[in-house]
Amino acid sequence: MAAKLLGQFLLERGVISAPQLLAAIEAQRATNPLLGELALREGWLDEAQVRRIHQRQRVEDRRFGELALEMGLLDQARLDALLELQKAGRRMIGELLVEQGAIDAARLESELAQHRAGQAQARQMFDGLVAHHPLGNLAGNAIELCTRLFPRMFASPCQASAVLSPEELGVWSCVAHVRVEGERPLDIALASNLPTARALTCALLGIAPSRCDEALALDALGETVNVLMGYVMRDLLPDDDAGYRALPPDTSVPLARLAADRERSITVLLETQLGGFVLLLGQPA
Amino acid sequence: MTARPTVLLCDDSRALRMLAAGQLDEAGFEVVGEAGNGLEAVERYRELRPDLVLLDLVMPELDGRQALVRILEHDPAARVVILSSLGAQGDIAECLRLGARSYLQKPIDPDAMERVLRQVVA
Repeated sequence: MAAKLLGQFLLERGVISAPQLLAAIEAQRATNPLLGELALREGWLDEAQVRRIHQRQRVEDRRFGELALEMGLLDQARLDALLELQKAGRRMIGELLVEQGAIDAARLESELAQHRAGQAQARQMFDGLVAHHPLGNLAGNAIELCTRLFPRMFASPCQASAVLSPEELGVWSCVAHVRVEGERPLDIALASNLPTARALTCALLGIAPSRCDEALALDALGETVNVLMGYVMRDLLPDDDAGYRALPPDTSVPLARLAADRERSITVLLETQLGGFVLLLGQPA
Repeated sequence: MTARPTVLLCDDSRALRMLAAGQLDEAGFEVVGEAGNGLEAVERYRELRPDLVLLDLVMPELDGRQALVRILEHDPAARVVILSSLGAQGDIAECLRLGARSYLQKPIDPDAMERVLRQVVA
């Protein structure tokens, strides 16, 4: 059992269709604007300023408002006003599905109850699997990094969903991994299918799908795992400047091969609105 | 020095070059050329003679360190800033000793990049 976002849960149970889910997600994006979007709308920041703050967020992993204040681009009064606007406008996916007629309120209540129960059970199972794995501590921290960084990089929430077994890895055809050499070498990999890799790339680079071929998608996946690796190295590994060295991203190794030793690797499924992807951490022998 | 300093952007990742080019443009620099490997970096430097070179440390064909040496052999006044995805301090220190003017760590902080590059071209 895997933890799932509500929309995905309803889709998989046949309660809603994919077009209905997509319509609700798009409505949610429109009605749950990011602070940057709100600041643009109010005329308090221009696009270049918003982009600079987002870029710093990727590097420093800090909140938009905090950075905007520090950079002198917003004052506290305007930031407070934006936060209030954001809170007032927030819509839940279930509410939007009801509004759009995809599901009625009573059915939503019933599904929500099952979703919550399933989430709790899946979370317990997931936490157990991660906690008991030899790499559980590192994995937990890396997952947390992903859930913080990926909304900023790809404008989509990200949620850890399941621990995968090696038999489940064949479908993830786009794989980029970075090996960190040192006293305790480490493999960090991200994998997805091609449509998700392309969607993530378009979100990361701000380009139209027509400009994103498979090579660019793999390349961007490699850069993403490079960024993640940088944070893992800075935040999680022992402080030893000379001891660790990262090799360039490698997109030629299948995920199943990287994950062959279950005791020395862990693969976690993460869900985003752009599709699922896999995070792998491994300690090569 | 032109109003917009010119930059040769050298990294084997097309995605990174796309991201960095946008950041450089916003910071007031003009990207006049790109290179995907160290050999290309050296050739394009000779053709373009930009005000600045952003040079990734790890590249195919010829790595950043070797490309730096060749660029500086050709033009000892070349202003080269190294890009590194990890604080590979040993490599960075060696590049600075060899004549690189500064370095930036990926992911590139646009404010840090602007500060470093402005300092280098000053």
